[in-house]
Amino acid sequence: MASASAMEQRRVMTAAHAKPALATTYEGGDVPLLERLLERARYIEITPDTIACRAGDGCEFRPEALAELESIGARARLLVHGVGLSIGSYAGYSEAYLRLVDELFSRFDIAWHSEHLAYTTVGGENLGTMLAIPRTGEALDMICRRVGAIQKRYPAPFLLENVVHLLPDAPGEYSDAQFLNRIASRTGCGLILDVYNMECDALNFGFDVDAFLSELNLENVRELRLAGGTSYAGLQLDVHSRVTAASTIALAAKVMERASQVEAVTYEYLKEAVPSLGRDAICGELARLSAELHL
Amino acid sequence: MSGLAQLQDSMLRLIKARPIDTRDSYLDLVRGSGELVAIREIAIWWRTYHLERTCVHTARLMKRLGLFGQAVAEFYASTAASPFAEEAARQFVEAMSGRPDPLVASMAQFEAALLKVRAGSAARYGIEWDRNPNDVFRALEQGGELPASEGMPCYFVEVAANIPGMVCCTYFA
Repeated sequence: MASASAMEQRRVMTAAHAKPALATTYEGGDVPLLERLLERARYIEITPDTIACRAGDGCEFRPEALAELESIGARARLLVHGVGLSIGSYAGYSEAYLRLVDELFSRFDIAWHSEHLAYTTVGGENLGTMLAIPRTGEALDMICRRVGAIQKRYPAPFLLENVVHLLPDAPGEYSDAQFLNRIASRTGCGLILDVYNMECDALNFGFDVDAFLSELNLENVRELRLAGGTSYAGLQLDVHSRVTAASTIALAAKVMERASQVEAVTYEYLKEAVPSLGRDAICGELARLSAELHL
Repeated sequence: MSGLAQLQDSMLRLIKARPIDTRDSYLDLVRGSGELVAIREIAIWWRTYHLERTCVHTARLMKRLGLFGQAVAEFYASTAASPFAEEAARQFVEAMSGRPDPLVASMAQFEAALLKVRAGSAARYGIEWDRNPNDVFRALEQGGELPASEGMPCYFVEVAANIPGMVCCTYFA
């Protein structure tokens, strides 16, 4: 069962919910882009790992990145979306990452924070990629314990995101939707549904999106994520380097018809893709998503 | 060891192309999959992308010598490389500093010193070169032929924050 604090977090999100708002990523170091994003987006999402650097045994934020976030002020609310927590690592998640999140919560008003339901390290060694965890009872118990600890640590809701499956699934006891449903019902955490990731899985492994959406409790979905990516060696990758495909927007619209608690729709792009995408295209994408998804 | 721990340890070994002795039908499936090959290649592509931008000189020289791709692949497979690009760059140039090719070793030592000084080190670093480093950089910039070794260390490059321009070079043969 979800804890009282988790249920309270869920109520706070639900009470605040009106219609979904536009969110987008910002990875620091490009103030002109940030200013243009702020003209369109109600939420700015930051990834702590990408605006921090190693310092001693831990890591710390670049001062200039914090100054940029300070400059946002009341023009947008901040979302924190992690890559480095590695909540699915058997050996333990990253305390260094959580110390970064501690600092963000101490400095800013964070609407909610989130992480991928995956692991990126094994025994402290970085994999160089992100892998889905096996959907077993052991993994379910471990994830729920950790989500509970994170919910106690921070005053804002915590969400988990479905990741792209880059390798064949490990043997498990639950379907994708069952696994997410159980985590959400046991902990009270919300979900991010990455629409582009679902499309990747469908293209790469024949993932049945309709069956997944039918089985998933969509009331737990608080955020949708959209992106455009590229393919390599026959695999559609979660490398967010393009504008969103029409099929992704159509799938998002279909989900939004049934997921009544969605509060934000986030357009994702990698900092590394900005030179090739261009600031105009990124801002144009925000306008397009706003219009087509009625944000 | 739990099932999850065992699985994740095996996945690390598979992705890093290290041997595993476990016989398991799922691991065998992954080991033989094209997706595993693609994941390794993508991970190395990202490492390459970031190293080209964080240790520019060493990367450029090693690319010129046709050594960079293999070096990055070996570095990725054998090193617990940091997810932080700057730290991974420091790890990479430290690793390349011990290469048998004296030109690569000198360049990597030089870049390691630059990264440390730029990160705030107050130390003074000295690197020996067996050929004129100015000619090396000029060849890399302009695409000309790299200078040949003069047979023994004969140039001494110092890197420190209190040196005007951060770098000075002395011919001592």
